[in-house]
Amino acid sequence: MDRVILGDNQFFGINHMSEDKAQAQAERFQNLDAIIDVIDIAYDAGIRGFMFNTHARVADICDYFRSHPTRYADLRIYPSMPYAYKYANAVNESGLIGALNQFVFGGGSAGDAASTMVRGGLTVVKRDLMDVMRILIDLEMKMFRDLNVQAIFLQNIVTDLLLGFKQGDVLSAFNAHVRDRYGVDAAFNTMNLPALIELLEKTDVDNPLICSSVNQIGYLMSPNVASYEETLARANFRPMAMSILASGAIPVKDAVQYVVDAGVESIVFGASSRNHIVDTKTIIESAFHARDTGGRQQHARRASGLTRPVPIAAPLTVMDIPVHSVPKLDVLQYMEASIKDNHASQHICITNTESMYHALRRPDHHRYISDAAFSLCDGMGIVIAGRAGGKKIRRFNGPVLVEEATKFGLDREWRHFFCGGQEGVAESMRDSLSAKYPKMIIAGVYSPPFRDLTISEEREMIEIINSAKPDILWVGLGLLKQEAWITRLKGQLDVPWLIGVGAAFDYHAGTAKWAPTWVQKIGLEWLYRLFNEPRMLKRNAYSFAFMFKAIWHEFRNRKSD
Amino acid sequence: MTSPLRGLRGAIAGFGRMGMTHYSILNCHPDVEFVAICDPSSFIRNKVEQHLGIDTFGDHEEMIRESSLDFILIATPTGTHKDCALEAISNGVHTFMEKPLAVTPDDGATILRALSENPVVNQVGYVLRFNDIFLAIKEILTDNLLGDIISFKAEVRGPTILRDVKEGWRAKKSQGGGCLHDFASHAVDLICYLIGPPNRVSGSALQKIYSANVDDAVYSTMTYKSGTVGTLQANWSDASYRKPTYNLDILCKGGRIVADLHQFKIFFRDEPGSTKYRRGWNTVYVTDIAEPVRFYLRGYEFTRQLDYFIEQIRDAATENLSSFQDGYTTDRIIGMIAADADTQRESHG
Repeated sequence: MDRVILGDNQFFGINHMSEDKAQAQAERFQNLDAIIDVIDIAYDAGIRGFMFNTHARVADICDYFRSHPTRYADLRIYPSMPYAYKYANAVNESGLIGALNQFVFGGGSAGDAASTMVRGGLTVVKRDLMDVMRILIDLEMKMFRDLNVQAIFLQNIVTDLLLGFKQGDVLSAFNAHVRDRYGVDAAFNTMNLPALIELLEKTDVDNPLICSSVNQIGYLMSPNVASYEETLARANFRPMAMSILASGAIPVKDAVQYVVDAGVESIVFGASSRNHIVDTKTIIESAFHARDTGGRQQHARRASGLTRPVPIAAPLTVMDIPVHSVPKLDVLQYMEASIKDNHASQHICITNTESMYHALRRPDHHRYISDAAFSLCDGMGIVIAGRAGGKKIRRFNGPVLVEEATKFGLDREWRHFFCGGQEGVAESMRDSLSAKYPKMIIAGVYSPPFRDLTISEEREMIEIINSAKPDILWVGLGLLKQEAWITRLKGQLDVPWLIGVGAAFDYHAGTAKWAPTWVQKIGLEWLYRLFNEPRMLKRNAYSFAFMFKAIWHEFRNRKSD
Repeated sequence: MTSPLRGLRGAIAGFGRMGMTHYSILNCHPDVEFVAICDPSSFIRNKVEQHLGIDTFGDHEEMIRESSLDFILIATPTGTHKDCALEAISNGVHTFMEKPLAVTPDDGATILRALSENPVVNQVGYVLRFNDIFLAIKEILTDNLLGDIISFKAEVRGPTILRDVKEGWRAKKSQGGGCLHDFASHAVDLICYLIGPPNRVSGSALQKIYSANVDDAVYSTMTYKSGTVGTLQANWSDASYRKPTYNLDILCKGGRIVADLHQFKIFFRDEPGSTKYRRGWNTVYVTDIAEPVRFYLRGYEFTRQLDYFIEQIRDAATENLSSFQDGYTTDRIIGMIAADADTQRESHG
């Protein structure tokens, strides 16, 4: 099957994000020549798979293909039927039965329908519905005669209508007719992938080809992203992705990586400029290639959303919250591999007792820690609680991670981006780090205002970060806020590593004082910081509350083992 | 009383395009069990029994009396809405009515009277009230972020009717056919929902383009006691569009909103009183704000309105985001536009 397929929405003024864009496209593509130009660009770029709906104008495109057989010798077509508005308007004009009569007996023309019916004394009323469906399929397929058809798709509006009706039999009849009559696979478009797979599992439709929206923001994916990821991991069907950019809301590279990681086998995309077509094709092919040649298992598992990438050692737990106790070098080498690998965005969580205190109360924060590639221990509280449970936990806190990653990344040309901190703090951090490490590459700095960003500002910020192409995005917006920020924007940020390191910004910017080394060694930084910043008192109270609870919990569990 | 332990028993009156859509969306709702469908067409009844395996009726009265229903979705031609609704309400059946509520405001008033005697959960299918874009605009206007409304322009155009249609209820004014009732009603309702019902309409015209018996285009000017002025244009015979397309432009003292079904632009003259926007122009795409739904068919808003209806039944709610009272208000404005258009025509002789 073609891994890259050019869709046709752009030719017919279909755009889910903007009616202005839809209008502009409708104007541009009103002549057949303009459509053929784009098809030629795609064809010459090596794309052979094309998906077409059954809009009346597609008949003209097909005529053109037939009249240039050598030019399009390798063309492979994936028809998607029916073009719903054609039928909807006919139903408005003639009623349901009138419209069916018109299509079934008149090939779409009312005059022909009347004469056929008069001649035959027939109306659709006497027909079996499955027969009617088969007649309609054959009518729609007429425009593709003599062309190389690869699979025939049932449009999502019909698939999903039948899905709601729970009519697996009809989907199965569609499948059977397409296989028998045309000798190709029947396929289904849907906006409800998990429910459709569940219904098809009860039918005789075997290993079906299913095209659905797949994107990390969940656009046109009912009921939600998580259930799509679970369904895609099941692999009892052949998944094809559409709407991967969510009408332009997601950068191409990240969108492609996401769907390839999710286990999709083929991608349909719409584009109308040469650059866009060639770039997208290249990105899709290289992502599939990377998946094929190694890392496949890891990617597939990661993308299933069920498990995290496997770090070097499984994490220990404190009160069932994961903490990775691994050598610093292992973390850095793992980061390096992911950066080289073009891996989809991952995050590292710097976990201390205060954040564990919140994790017990806030499922989103708990999930953030559990989903992290690494949950690194920050502070003595966790070490002590771990010891109570007989676990030896290594510390690797935020400020140290920044410094170590900076040093490790110098020769590897890692690109760092600092986002957050109070006004000016990110800039001071950049200045002091680059003074200390002149070779360090700082791809950018952004200090969002303390208030929530507007929708437009947020989109601009994402663009600023993505266009700086960082390898590591250091986020310092304060505990909870930075974690929520990373969770929400991870899918839209084209960055291998996202790391929330609140306090590290202050230490590296020089706005907070490092504790003397001997204080660090005996684990009393918190006390040092408390003396210097009395506002930490309440936060320390959370930490102690958690620590004593955790010590008791770990100790009891150890005894009961 | 409705027991939460079992599925709600539902029925559909009128198994046309909307009836089928509603059926599909709620048939896979975990709290719903459809038990009956009524439709005058024996072809439809036959196929429904054969494929869906549920009871069918030729007549809504019989269906409502015999099926012990919790709720009914009425998607019949507008001319039959009143009779269906009265039967459902008098039997204590929660009622979802496809828009518009009725052919005339008088019919609507009769329905409201029945409802006051026998209250049930009631909702009209003004689906745009559940559209992500218009929900966001409603919030902006409710929070009064833009100040007083100076003027607005509401337009809806589409290629629904491109030749004279003689058959069916859509060709009959008395059955609720015509652009004003069938097509412009969404735009009129959106105006009532977002801006409020106008106090006066003037300069209205209903225009025939292809249809012999009903209007294909609607024009009207709306004025408010507050001083707000707006215009409405609706045309369902515009071949330049691929599908029905809405454009709404609202000018306020503190800024402006320009919206369609997929995006809106909002301009703030001063620093806005919301962290979601900034001073000057902001563009919001539906992908920025769309909230996922349980099941998708034809648009997020179709599922959202029906799931909301079921939720209101479960909660025994008395309020509704798109109540019969709202439907009546919209019908009243539609009636005012039709009457004004008649007056205008007479004055032309």
